[in-house]
Amino acid sequence: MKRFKRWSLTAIAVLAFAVTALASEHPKIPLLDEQGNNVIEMAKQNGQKLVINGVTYYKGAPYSSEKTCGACHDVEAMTKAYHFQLGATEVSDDWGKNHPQYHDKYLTSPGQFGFW
Amino acid sequence: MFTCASCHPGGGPYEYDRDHRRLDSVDPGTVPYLDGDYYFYTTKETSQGTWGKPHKFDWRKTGSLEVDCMTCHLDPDAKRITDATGVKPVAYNPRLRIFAKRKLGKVQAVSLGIYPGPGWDSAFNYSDPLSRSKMKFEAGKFYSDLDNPMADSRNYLRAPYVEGQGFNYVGLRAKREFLGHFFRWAPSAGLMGWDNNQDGYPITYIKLVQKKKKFVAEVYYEASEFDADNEIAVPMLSSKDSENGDFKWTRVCAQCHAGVKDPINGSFQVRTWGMGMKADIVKRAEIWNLNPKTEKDPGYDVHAAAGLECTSCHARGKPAGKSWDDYVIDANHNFKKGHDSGNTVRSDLANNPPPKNCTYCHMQEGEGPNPTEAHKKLFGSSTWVHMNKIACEVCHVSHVRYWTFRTFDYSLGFQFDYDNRHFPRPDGKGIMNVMLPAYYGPIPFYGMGNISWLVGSMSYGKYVTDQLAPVAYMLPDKPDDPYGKMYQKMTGKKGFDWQPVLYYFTGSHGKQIMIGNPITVMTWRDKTMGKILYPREMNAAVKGIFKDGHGRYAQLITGEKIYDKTGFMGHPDMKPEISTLSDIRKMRRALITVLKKEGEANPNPQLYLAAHYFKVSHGVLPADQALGANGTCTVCHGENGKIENRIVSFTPNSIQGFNQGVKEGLILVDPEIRYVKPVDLNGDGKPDVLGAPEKKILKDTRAALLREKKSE
Repeated sequence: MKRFKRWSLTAIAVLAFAVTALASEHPKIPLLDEQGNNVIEMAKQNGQKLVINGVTYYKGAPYSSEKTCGACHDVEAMTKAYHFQLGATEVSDDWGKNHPQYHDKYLTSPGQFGFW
Repeated sequence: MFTCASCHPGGGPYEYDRDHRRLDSVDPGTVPYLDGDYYFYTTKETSQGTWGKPHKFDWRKTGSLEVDCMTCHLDPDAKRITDATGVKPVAYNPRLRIFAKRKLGKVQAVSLGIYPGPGWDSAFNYSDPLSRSKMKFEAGKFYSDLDNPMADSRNYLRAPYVEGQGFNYVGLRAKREFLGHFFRWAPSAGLMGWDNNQDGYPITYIKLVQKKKKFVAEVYYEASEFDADNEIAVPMLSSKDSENGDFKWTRVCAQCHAGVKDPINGSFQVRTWGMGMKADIVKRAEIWNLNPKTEKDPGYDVHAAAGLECTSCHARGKPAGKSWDDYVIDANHNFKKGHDSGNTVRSDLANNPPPKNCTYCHMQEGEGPNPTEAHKKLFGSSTWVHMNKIACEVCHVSHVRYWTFRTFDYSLGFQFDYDNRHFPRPDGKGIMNVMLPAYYGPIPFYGMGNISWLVGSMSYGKYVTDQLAPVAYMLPDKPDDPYGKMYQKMTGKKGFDWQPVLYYFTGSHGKQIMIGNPITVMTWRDKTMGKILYPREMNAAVKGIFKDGHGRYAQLITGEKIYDKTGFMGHPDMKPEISTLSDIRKMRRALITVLKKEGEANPNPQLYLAAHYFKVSHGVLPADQALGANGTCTVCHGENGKIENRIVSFTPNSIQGFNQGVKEGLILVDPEIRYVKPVDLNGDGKPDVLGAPEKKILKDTRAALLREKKSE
């Protein structure tokens, strides 16, 4: 019985891992710069190499997460969330005056941006 | 951005101005004078103090800080790099060794992670010299630095600096210099822990190189990490990857919110970068033990032990009866949040909708056992009074077993920076000669010496008060919890052990008794303008910290001196502080000088004391071990109960003549904490701290809620 239990748990774990692995699979992507260019493609074309212990690096433009992920995902919609805005979407000079329950007329937003 | 973006993922106000223009698309020559999005003071001006107008900032040179999706979505475990010593730092934003090449003592170039060879030294040759690691560095190899007090890779690009040149750390002879800001390059640096082909070299490599006296950032990509189509497979962490037993999402959230031991390299960090400390450690000692041996281990939580993650309660969750494909946070990535008592976190979003909380799972949805019958046995006819009036966490969380901030004392500005090496050891054996353990503590430029931690309180004692320790006193001692060891050595107690403070607040179930940590700020306010003074202005009033035959003192710009007169547990804390009305008047005169230079006609500074409670609601223990264990009436009520007998300290020292100072308008106590007064702890007739009895706090916070209700 104990052995069966152990095998069952192992099987469940393997299955869970497989499901997790599948769930996490993401298509291959190019890393894009702010202009939407493939950074490694452009870097190779520019040809400025740096070889470190036999490993070849090409000098390129910084990658843009927004352009890279935004090619498929609605980054603008996602970044309206509080974690990104910290209250910036609510900022106004009169915010504190219009929200007396916060007891501070100088506040300009209900989040860290404009509150502190 | 200098401070907050050590956690902030970019986007929002870090990318766009208030007119929704991308910051780096705007010619600063076209913006109105003193436009808040395009004017700034330098770090030197802020930390050392100055007066006058700010400078224009050209975002086109630095780039704006775009949202960095990889902050949360690069799988924290897959494809981690292994450095030359076998250490695997985290995949995203690893803490790296930062090398610098100097010529005649001035830095010419900086290399992140990779040691170029002889002639290169540590960029932080004061606080983190290469010699500290006691290893031999090999040219061309990649090195992480989990102990680095300063830099993780993304944040280093955000605000890189080097030591040994530039301007002095406040109060220290050591120097540092900032090399500029490289916001546009920061996301590329964040990828330096990701090694897709597992060759020991990161996908990106960043250098800073001096050209025409300015530093420029260079990004290099390892060609063999990409396929023939110049594309790459990203080990992505999706919202579906939750509750698999690996706590990846908990660890992702913990990057900015909590202390979690890394399961792969064993590191435990409380800081992100520089001054950036994890938000919920400093507020409420939030640490999570994902692999506890016993329920008594700090950071144990019954829900984590059952495999739940942060996302289990704070994400939108898997809709009932639907598939994992429907498991999404939602398009705008808002998380479900509770109600911050400080009201600084979009309170309109609080409990709107509520995260999964005790009531939701245990009383509404049946996801956990219903506690009603057990509580009836305990409380009898007063069951509903207790269950309605008291938030569940008040009884069901543990004693808090880690430090947290309690007091920010800026009454003398950021008067000196954190560096404990010249302080006497608490055991009397010479001075501390070790820079604080890098992976934990603050660094030497945040005025950390002005901050006091809450390190303990008695559980159910006859004489109960919170113990506050100035940050300056740490006795670094690896591994897990150097602060705990420090505290143990100083007090003879094992680790931290404190109870959160009871107060009334409106939560998801209405007005209830909650528990939290009241973090206090003692700073200055100009009564004429009605504004809190900027650190820049307060720092400008203090020339520095010096020592003479009477001890350490703050030298004010007026020529007056304010001495260190109090100490911590019998040890001199070496921190000059305001402890008399005479001190207040001296600093007032110095501030009036500064404010007049700022152009104010009639400045009238007053010392200002305010506090907000930060709720403690995680760390749930089995009922027989939690704060309310053996829940007899006397746990809270009666002579030894936590309500009747506790003094809550708000500051580590008192001010002689406090009440007179309030009367004269030299001191303003924020109405939210009007109950804070000088308290005599040891019965010698002299006040020891500014604080309040627990009973008074409950009475006053309840009355405040009733007043609010009346005014609605």
